[in-house]
Amino acid sequence: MSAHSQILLTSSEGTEFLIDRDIADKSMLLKCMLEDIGEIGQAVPLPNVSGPILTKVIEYCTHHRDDPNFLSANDDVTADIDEWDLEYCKVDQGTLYELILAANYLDIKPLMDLTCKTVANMIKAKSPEEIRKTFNITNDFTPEEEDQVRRENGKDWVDEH
Amino acid sequence: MDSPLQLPEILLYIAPYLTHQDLVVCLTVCRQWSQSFTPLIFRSIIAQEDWSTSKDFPSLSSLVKNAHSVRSLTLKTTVGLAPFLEQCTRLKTLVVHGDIFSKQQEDIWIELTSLVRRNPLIERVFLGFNRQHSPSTAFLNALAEACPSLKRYESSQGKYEDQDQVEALLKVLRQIRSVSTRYECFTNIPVDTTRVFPHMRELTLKDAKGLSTQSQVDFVCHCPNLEHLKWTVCRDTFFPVQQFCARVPAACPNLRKLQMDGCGIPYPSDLSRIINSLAQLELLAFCGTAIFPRTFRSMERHFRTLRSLDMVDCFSVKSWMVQATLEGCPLLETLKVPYLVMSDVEVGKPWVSLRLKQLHVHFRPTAVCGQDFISQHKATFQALGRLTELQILDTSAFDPMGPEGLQYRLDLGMASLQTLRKLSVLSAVNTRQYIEDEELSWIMSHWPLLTKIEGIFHHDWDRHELVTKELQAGGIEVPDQRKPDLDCNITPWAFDHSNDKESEDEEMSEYDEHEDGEDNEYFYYYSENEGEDDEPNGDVAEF
Repeated sequence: MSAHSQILLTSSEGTEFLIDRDIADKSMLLKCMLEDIGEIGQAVPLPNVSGPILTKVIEYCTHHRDDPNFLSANDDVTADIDEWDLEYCKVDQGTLYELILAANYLDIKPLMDLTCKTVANMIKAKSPEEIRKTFNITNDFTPEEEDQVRRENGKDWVDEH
Repeated sequence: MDSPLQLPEILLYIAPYLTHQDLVVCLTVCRQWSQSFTPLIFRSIIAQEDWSTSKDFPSLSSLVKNAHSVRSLTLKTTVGLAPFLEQCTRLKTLVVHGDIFSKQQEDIWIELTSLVRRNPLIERVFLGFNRQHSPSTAFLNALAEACPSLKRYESSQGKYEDQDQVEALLKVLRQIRSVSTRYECFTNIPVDTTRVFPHMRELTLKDAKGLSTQSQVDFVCHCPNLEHLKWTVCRDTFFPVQQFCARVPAACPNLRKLQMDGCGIPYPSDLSRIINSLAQLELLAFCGTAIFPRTFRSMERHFRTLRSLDMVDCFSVKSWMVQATLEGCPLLETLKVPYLVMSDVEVGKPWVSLRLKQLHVHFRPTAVCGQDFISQHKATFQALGRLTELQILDTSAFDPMGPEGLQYRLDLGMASLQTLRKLSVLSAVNTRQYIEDEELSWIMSHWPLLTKIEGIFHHDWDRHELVTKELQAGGIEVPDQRKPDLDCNITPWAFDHSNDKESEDEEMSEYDEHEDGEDNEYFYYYSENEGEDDEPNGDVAEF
């Protein structure tokens, strides 16, 4: 394997993406696959990832290409999001959802952390109704059930941690 | 497309970034969220005395149902909780608060012993007492026998009077990595210190009453893999300097971190003997003791390896020592010191501590205005600008009436701090600031990670409040400040560096003149602490 070898990926609609091996290696899925079966010279199909999302994912991996702490980058749950990452996540909700699913599928932990942190920031300090509205979630509780969940778990029960 | 927010594995990924309150709110969003987030709500439970009437606490039936999710349990009472405690089997942390022992009968230990026996995964135990109680022998035996994963045992204000109980405690200590005993009484116990504690990495010994300093040194020396020692002997005994230096370095070759309060170290030069006896320290923290030039020279031996140095609560720490530390410690990540005179930065060599993440130092100018004032600020900002890893910068003064400190002004060279891209906390309490619009917008645009800023931002209180509002609007936390009393704050004054130099020279010459120099150090130490030291004078005379 040469240092500059390249990998061909195919998105769900069949668009081909030629990327450097070190970029592909940011995805644990691709890394393990390429290590297991070697470079077969054929395009790797990614039926779960659309072209625009794959572009976005490649943009992320390319930006963090030489990041020595790539795998532990977002481990600190209290740390703030880095400037570039913050800009990167300024996308519509549909894209954000797809990025989460793609990061999960391709197993890119830092991207998963980043996108989930972004979602968490959208949840913070909201009421249940506001959260449902933000994420377009249907309340499937019966009023009795909702009341019971509230009662059983203490509405504002505060942990000292 | 299915929303990822309905997938349990994604929800579990999001949860760690939410606060407990947020998680409780999430429970009532929909069924899927309720199911995914419920186990997380029960991860950590704190049972207050009024739990049964508290609206903010889960019901008993809900506790029983989710007991298998509890990993960390803090008990301030066990009354009425028996059905829940019986179902807890996967605890990793157990915290028991002192009041429980005085308010409930002694059979609390029967309950806690069987709780421990049911929870083999326990890793950490914290017990707080009130000088009257101590863990039962059966409880300690249960910990030693039933909890193979136990790593840390922490106990404070306990009273150990019984030989069996101490035997059981030593059995626990033999298998753990980390122990802390604070303000505990060991009454008339001949502790057998011949056994070895091979796993011990971290040891906190604070005010262990009834244990002779000899036994304490023995104990330390029986931890051959010790890395971190926090040690303070009781106020009425002296630190066993001779014994420490002669035995500990050889017995604990991996000891790299040392934290000590000044209590029990009567001669400041004893401190340098202790520091000299150890090799390649990574962490040094002292408080309530004097740092003399000789003490400092012995610290210099560790400069190549030092990562953290805290002497903010020490006496006699001089500006040149701080400058020399910054010029000499390439690995330093944390530095907490009282003050640094800005002219020392200006004439000194460039700092090599470029990995600093946390810096607490009050910068003092030697002039109130004019060319010196400006050039000292420029030099200081430039030096700080090289600390690109800095996350916390605290230039506060301890004394509200003290010298005025570093002024964050663009015309004084603050723009050099634009390289501090990781800065998240800036503190400048008790310093004089003039944050104008220019500075404000500079701050908002150059430190992207800034989350907190503390201090009075302008001499003019209205202006200060305006700046506070603007910062808060930008999402930055600004702790409240008390409006200063203007009468006592009329003339700013600069720090007179010449005094600092002179007293230093005197001190140095004393060293030269006297062979041992210790008497001088000794009297200097006590005279400087007059009024602050609550040690009865009798002790001094006696010595």
